[in-house]
Amino acid sequence: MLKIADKVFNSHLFVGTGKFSSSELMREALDESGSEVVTVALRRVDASDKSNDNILSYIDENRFLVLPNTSGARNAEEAVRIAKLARAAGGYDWIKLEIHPNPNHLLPDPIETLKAAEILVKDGFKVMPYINADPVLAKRLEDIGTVSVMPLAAPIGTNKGVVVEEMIKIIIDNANVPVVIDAGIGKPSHAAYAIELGADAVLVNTAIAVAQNPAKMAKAFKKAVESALLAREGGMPDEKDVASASSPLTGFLWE
Amino acid sequence: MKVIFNSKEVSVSDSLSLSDLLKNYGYDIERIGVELNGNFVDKKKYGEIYLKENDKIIVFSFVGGG
Repeated sequence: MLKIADKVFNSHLFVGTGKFSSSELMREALDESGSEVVTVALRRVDASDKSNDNILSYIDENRFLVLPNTSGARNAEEAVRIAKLARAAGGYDWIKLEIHPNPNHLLPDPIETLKAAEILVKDGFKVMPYINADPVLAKRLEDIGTVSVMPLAAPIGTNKGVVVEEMIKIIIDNANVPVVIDAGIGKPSHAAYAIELGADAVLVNTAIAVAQNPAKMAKAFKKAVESALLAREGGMPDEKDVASASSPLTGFLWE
Repeated sequence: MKVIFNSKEVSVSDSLSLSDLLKNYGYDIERIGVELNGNFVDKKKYGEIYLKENDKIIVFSFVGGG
């Protein structure tokens, strides 16, 4: 069970809704994922543009917490503006705060993120900040009242898995709020690994959305996350540098 | 009179409310956000706001995102 702020979730897998080739495929994938949290973005829309079917029509809000993101924001001011618009548009007071000014690497701006988080927390938002895997920043955000921290595993959309493992471990060891690993998770084993490290949840978008069969991939992620949680409950052994036999070292036939 | 609606100049009748404008364009009011001259507008106030010459209105909606 995962508790963030005042909400309790059974699933530890969050799913992003971008990049799906159709809204129907997205809905099937969301169903199979078992997830209870989905992210959405906010954009300018023309009513005449029917290709931009309102995504909320495909999300059962009785089942999913809708977590709007502030993607597209280049600084704190824009992020706050987007968050307020999302609240005005849909009544959502949970916000995934993301500020990444450079489209080449999409790495989050820590200074603007901290600034925006302070404003949004004071304004009553439940803030989930997307950050680089920086343990000091994670602590600063937690101190000002964000309901979680969302460090990246690797840059957005790279599918490389937990490349910043050592920093993620430090964040997990020190956090008093849930740690949700966001970005860079490319396959179920990456998600399982992040959870085995002690992360509270993972957010997956690209890997599911661009799979040949998104529904199957969503199910695979669900199982991976559940499997890693079970492993944690089971208790994993420590790594060692010397071999240690699994079979008895006495009573051999030749003795 | 003229207003700037989603970055395009459009002619609208005088004393048109924001709510009427959005309905005329077929928006589902429950699922959009609106900025009027750079400030977001509370949904409850759409009917009370009457447009003025050169007002800038931008409509936002939710789309897929990670």
